[in-house]
Amino acid sequence: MNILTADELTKSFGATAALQGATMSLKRGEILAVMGPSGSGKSTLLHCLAGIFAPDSGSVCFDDIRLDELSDRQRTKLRRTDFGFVFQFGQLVPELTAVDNIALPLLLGGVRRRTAYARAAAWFPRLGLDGLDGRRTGELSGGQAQRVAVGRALVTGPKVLFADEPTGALDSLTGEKVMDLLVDTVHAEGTSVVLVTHDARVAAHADRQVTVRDGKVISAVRV
Amino acid sequence: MVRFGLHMSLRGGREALIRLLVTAAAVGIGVGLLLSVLGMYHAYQTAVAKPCWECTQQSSADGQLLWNYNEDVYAGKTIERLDVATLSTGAPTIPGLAHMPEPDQYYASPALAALLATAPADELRDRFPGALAGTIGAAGLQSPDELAIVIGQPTAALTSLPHTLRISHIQTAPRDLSTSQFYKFGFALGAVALLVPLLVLIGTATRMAAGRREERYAAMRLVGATRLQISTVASIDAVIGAFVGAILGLGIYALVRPLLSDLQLLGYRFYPDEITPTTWGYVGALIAVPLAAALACLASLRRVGISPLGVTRRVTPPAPGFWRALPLLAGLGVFCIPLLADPASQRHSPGLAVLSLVVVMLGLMIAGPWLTMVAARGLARWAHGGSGLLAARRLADNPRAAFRAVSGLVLAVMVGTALASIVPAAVASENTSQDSALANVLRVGFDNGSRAKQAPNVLAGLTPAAAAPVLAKISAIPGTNVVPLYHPSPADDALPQVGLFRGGESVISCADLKTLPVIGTCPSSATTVMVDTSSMYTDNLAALNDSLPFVTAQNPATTDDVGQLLVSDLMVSTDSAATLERVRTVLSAYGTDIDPDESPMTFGEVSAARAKLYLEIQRMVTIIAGVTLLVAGCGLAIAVSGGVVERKRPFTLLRVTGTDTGALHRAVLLETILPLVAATVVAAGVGLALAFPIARALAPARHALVLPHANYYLTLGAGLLVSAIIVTACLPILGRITATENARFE
Repeated sequence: MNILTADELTKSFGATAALQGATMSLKRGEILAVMGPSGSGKSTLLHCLAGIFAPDSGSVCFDDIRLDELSDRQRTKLRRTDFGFVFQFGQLVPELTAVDNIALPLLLGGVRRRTAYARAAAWFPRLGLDGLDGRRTGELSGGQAQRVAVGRALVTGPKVLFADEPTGALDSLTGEKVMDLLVDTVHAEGTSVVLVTHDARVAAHADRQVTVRDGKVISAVRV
Repeated sequence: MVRFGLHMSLRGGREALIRLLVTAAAVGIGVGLLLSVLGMYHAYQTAVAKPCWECTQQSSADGQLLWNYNEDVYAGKTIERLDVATLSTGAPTIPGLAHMPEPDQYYASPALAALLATAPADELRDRFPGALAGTIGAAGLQSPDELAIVIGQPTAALTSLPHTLRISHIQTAPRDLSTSQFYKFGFALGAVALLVPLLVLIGTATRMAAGRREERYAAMRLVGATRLQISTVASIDAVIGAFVGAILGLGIYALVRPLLSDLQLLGYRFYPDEITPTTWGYVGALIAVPLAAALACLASLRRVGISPLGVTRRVTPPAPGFWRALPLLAGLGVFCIPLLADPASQRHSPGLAVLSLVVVMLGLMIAGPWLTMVAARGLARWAHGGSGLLAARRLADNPRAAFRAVSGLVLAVMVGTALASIVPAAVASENTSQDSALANVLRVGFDNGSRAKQAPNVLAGLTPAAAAPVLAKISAIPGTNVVPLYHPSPADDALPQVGLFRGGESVISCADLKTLPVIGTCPSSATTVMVDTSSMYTDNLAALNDSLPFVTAQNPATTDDVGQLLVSDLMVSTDSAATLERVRTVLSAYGTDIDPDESPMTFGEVSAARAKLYLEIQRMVTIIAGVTLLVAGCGLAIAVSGGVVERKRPFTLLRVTGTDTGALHRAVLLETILPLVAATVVAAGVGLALAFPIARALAPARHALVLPHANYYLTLGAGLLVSAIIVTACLPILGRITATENARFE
């Protein structure tokens, strides 16, 4: 059963057409890798699916909700409650400690402080970050920071995780470990994942792959 | 490389342009304010350095000029009146005049000339014989508001007057102002209090979004740029912003200057031409500020490592140590000694309290970063929302920078509050809100040399024959009541002493007393009484009120015939300001009989003159505190904008993940307004508390302490509000630069 569907999405930035009728779907609990060369429109597709951008035309449905018809405020709320995000780098607030960073979405969502920190702390053993909860971003390695980012993305219990080149800034070994962690965790949580990458080894962790070229989803492969 | 630096700064895209404009605007505000302070300081120095021709006192047997100087009053303002007669063509002339007036001519200051043209003749014009021949130039006046007149008299008329001098030289030295050192100190203190936040503002502006710039420099290093080349590019970037800002500051100063000439900083305006930061000020603004910006930029580059692989990764700077609190604790320890000591033992010797004031102020500046860190950590521990956590961690992350942004403000508010608390005590607990039933009663003392009993045949006040026409003329003015005070007769020495000393007693007629009942009521059956009038010669309405009524049933009656006694003083009640001036116009004809040290003034005017120093200092402190708050607000606004630009990536991601802009706005407001408000409140509280034992030591025993004027607190509040508005006005930038539509993180 699909949790997220996109139908004939178009999106342009000035004269540049990033999406030209992209159509795809994501099943509940599925990890979908979106691949394609640079400039193909895969990140724009992710942003439209996540409600970050409103498409110029076409529709995006999440659990029967038309994202493209929601206001910016409604999409913001949806991103806070139902979606999680992991990006390549620069996503942690540098002044906050690791545990602060993971607790932050909960605090911003109005969860009580004690509960938020208890839930955040519970992620550290799962992320293999025992004892690092008091470290700041600058005191973590790239792989550790990315694990914190994974924890922060999943701590709110999102239904869909959007990951845009999550290992792009890591060496292959560290990237592999982060992907293993991410896959294990989302499977345990039952979270669906849209994984944008151009790295075939990363895409190999997905249940299914689609390729984007010239703003269109041109092929789907079950891994 | 210089051309390349110019190219990067001026044509480096929208972000570089915005950074340049914001930097220039902030530096411009700072330079504009700095030039204003320098301009006012120069005007003050020029004013007090002018020759005090009024102070001429040295007579010379072969002098060519007859000189008779006294002071009159109009509407509470002193009129400097000089009557002159030239004995030869070589007679000296006061500054501002080409030559001395001929008989039946006078030269007036422009302000007095304007008054003479508009005020009714019987209230002012009739005091001065002759016709206006011209005005006194700025060289002879401290202020365009000064009231001065130089009257030409026939030689014979001046020769016969007492106090006339024959002089050969007019004093060229400036007035020996007992307060000038205080003002110099005040200006220096004010300049420092303003300078620190101004430098912080300029420094913050030139360092704005340094993180973003440093990334660009890292990219340059990757393609082979040397450290020297990076320094050159960075310096050019800073210098351009500062130079454009300095030019803008000159423009701001040009706009503000007309307002400065209307500012009565010391109770009077300065001449517009004299308000100038001088050539050195302009040169300093155009050269020193860009140079300082370049040096600050180079210094800041030394603190980060820019390698071809990027800027050295962010590591939290070491936390401020507890040692920073030690001077503050030592100061507080010293502070406890005068605080707990018996107030009587401390009176007039506030040495320890002053020492503790200085030590605590210095200690607070040193301890500021540590206190900020402790407070921010506390806030982080107890913050309930994400906004509070973001703000607290930001403050705790670099408490030195957080405190630096408000350190100037802390210093200014602390010093300002302490001064505003101590000065009223230092000027005898002068409370300008005090009123008295005698506030509008005029008192004039006649020339009697001393209030002590005069030797036989020495004139001590007006004789009955001389007093009669004065009393008649004043009584003839509608709306007046005159009460003469008389010198006691020798027979009164047999009466019980009513005053502290014999010379402080006067005789008063009970019939006259009924016209001014506030002075008191005679014992029944008495026609004249002895009264202690020594406390009447005060300039403090509170002290005057303590002595009222002067006459009670206990005052001894005398058998004097007041028609035979010398009149020492007159007390005149009037029903309006116009009537008061008419009385003074009558008295001006008897100017030479009036004690030179006692111009005819009401008790309220005397008190106001005494309170002038207090009011001037209060005004200066209020202005400095207000401007400092505004500067601090601007500095924080720049810091906010720079901080938001530097955190564009994590903030944008927070928005992407569903954080609404309101939460980010709250975080930025908290990390900005919180230190501003906290620093102001703490600094004002510390200043007030520290001033308490000093004020207690300085205040007269029977008077309550006077707190800073309400205007001071209103200024602090208004300054905080305006600063908050300035900071809030910067928030839209947060919404724009973190727009999710612009998000790209790969």
